[in-house]
Amino acid sequence: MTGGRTRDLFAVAGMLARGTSRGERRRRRLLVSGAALATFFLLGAANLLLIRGTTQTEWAGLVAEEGLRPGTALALALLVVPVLALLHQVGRVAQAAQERRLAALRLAGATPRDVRLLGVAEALRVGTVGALIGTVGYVAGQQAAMAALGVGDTGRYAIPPWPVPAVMALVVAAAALVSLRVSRHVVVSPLSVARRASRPAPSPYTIIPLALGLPIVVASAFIDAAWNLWLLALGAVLAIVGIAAGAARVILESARLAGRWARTPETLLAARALEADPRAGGRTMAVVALVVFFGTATGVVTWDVVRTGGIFDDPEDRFWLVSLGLTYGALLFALLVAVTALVVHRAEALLESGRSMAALAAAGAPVASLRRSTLRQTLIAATPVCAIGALTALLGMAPGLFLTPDLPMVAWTAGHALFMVALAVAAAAAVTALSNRLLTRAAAPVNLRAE
Amino acid sequence: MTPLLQARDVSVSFGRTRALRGASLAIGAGEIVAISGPSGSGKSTLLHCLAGILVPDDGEIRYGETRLDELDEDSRTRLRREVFGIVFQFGGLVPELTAVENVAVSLMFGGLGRAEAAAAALDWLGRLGVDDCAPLRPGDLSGGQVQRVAMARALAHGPKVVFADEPTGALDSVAGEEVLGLLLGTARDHGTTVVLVTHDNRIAAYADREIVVRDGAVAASPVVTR
Repeated sequence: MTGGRTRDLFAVAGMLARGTSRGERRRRRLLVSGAALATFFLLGAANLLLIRGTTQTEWAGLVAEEGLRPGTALALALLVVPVLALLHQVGRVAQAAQERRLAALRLAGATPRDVRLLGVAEALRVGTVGALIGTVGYVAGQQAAMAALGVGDTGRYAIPPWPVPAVMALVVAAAALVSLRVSRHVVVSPLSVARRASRPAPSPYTIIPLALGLPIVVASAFIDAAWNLWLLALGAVLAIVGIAAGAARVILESARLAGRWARTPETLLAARALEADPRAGGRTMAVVALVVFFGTATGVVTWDVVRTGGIFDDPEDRFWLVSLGLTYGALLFALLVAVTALVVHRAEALLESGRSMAALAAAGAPVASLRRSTLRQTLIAATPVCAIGALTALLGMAPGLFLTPDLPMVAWTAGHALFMVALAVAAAAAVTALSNRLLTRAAAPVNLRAE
Repeated sequence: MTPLLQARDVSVSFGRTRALRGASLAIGAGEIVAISGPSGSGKSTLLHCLAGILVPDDGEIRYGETRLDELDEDSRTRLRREVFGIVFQFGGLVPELTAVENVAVSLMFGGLGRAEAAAAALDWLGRLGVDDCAPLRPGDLSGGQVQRVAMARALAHGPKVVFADEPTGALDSVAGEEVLGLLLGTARDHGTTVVLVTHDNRIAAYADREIVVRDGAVAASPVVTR
């Protein structure tokens, strides 16, 4: 592609950005926020990895201890996962909602490739703005935090300039890749925009990594060898991949079961909607399940820390409190971002089913019943996936729970796991209930008018 | 004779656009009435008002002695579910449900159990000649089959009035006439009143009476004679 053509595409993307609706501006703000957050976390991770030696910072043991820094950096980088899930979901809605503009561009002579590149150009613009905001926020925030905490040797802790462009480029490239990936499922013709015919149901083989990972993790607890840590790591990675990849299949099976036993129209509608497209909800629920997985694992660690005692008395071990506090904070943040993606998923689903919802309401289905149906959709999807996340973490982190049960340990770890599942399902349900305003709008009679 | 459905000086605006400007009409029980007119004349809006889907800004809508424009949303929803049946140009079926489930779910909203609703739905699909489509989803059906399933959904609960908004608009002439023949034949057999919106004179000719709407008002409405 020539430089002039690229310039033209950016110019058209700019023109499109100026003449958009309120909804699209809101979506763009979400994309910018996501890119800014991703930049912020990645800069934090890079910053931590570049600090050398033991530091004097007593305000965060995870930063002060040289050996713990890579783990903290990894945790920060992992926070990008829910943000990416959100960006992906927002990108899908943006693609579906741009239909008139894109179809008009095809009529004006743009090729399908041009339309895809326009999407990428728009993602590059939005990604660049987000990365800039994230960088400014990180640098300014770090300076302010160090000043507030009275950190003397600021040069030692501040992020050096050289990784900043690399992180920004990574975020902008990720935004463009997400846009390209999303556009694979949309067909833009001169007359309309349509989603590609529904993809085949998620394969049952997607849960193989989980089925392999779990026994490996459990086995690692009983092997007394130097390499059992590697075995544990391998099993944990397989289990995590299995939860992420298998969520859609689990949701499909759960929906089939609910559909078979449904006795009310609300449950029947919910089950069939999930069965028709388990992948879209599966992406979001996979992230929610991973939060439950890590949350349950943190609960087991918390039990070990509390059992060994001293953390409330011994100043040397007080960093555990800070570490656990930070971990729970990060988990809550990840859960919040993941359930926000759920709202975006609801918006996307209603864009596609708005007319049939309006027709159902016109035919006498109470809007309150349709709202209950969306809530049941969330429960049918979230409950089994989150339960699997918690069970996997329990089996992996506390096999003793099942082999040599000790009442206080069972009460704490199982109770904590149940709490994590309940929290995640309740958060997803609450967000669905909040997004029901979108459903009321979708079921409005104005959507019945012929085009 | 008291009309079954009545609109008196009905006005509706969407923002600055006035869709209806004082439209009035009366429809008797068992009558088959076509509301016709050019695109944008307000005929669909009038049908939505008569069916209790839209509440007019001004004027009255009566079903028997009941003022629809004074009912709250829940009561109008109940009326639409129990007394009216509605067929849209685009079918309005839920894409994720099978044909039989699309009909059954409407009956389930009316309080029927799933097994009874499915049996009744299958019976209606059979009457309309699409029982072999029962396990298929709308995406796997032809336009004519979708409309027949939509008609089964509208008729299955034994409505007093069926509202059909351009029911043949998305079909070719042969399929359109077949679908319309089935709808009107079934309605006549059951003494059901049909209010049909169309811009096609050939379709309007199937009705007992034609009401023409132009610029948001009824241009010609013969007196109810039955």
